[in-house]
Amino acid sequence: EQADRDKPINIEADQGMSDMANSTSRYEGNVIITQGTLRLRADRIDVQSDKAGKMLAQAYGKPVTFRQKQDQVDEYIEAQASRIDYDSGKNQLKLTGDARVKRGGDELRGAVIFYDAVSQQYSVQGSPATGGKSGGRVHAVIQPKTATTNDAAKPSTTP
Amino acid sequence: MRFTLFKHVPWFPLAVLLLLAGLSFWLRQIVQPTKLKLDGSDRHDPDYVIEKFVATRMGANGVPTHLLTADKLVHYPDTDTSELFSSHLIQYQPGLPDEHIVSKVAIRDKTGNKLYFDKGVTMSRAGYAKKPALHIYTTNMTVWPEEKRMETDAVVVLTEGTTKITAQGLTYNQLTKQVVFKHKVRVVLLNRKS
Repeated sequence: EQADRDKPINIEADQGMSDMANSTSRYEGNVIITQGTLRLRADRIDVQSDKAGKMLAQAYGKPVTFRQKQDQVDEYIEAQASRIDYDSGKNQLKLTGDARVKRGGDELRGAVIFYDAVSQQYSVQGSPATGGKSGGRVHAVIQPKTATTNDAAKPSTTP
Repeated sequence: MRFTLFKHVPWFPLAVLLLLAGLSFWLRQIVQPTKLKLDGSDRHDPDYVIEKFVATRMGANGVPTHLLTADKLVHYPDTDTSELFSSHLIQYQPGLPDEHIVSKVAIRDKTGNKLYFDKGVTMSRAGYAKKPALHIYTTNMTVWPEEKRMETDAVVVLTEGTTKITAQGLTYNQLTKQVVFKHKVRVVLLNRKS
């Protein structure tokens, strides 16, 4: 949700290490980031934070999972990848490595997926062909939007 | 003739008697209360007290590296330790703000290189450049002033600007500025707007 961006960011982990000189930190062991409706789980997270409380995080896991509620609809977007880069200031995500995004019945898979939580749009790239091997293609499953029930109930007027 | 005399000595009962004598002597040693030394060295009594204690440690280059003050210092000869009341350690850092460690009580060990701050400890450093002030709150903290490092296993709360970190146990190297949170880390990054 848009409002998530202005909420405090909470991080839980088993251990942590901070470099006070550069304001960088690393948290390891069952790491969970929550910010409003946003929730991200990883094995390890590297964080750079600034004075305004904004955060750049690189999350690593097998896989890293991400979940956030969509605006104005009671629907969640769910994503996972080997690595997720999260920019809390811009509310953007970059999913790398066996990336998947699921929203309602729709699903996207590819090597790299960019997701903008503000515009709620995403773009996906396949992996380039390397060493004679064919590149990883992009897969998209888009569910047909069924007519809403009241349309179906209305009797047809045409004879 | 000597051989026949030797043969007739009742060895077994003699051995048993010797064993019993030894046992009773050993038992007596055990139950005997240890004698009190008259010089008072086995009592935990102070041998000197310093009011308004101030100690400055100079570096090889003649510049102070840290300053330890206390309202009162009490020295105990039996453990060769000192107890400091309202203790305050200031760690100087060239080009950076000082780091202050304050607590109600501190124990200085016999080497003088290790200080155990207790009964509520606050470590603070003023803000500088773009960095906000840093504070660490805990119940006790062991500090090695010479090595510029500190450690605790107690719960700690660290605040720096919009960041607040709670954890169980911490080590802080003041030279490298590396803080390690040992267990149960909880971080809150307050958004400037929230």
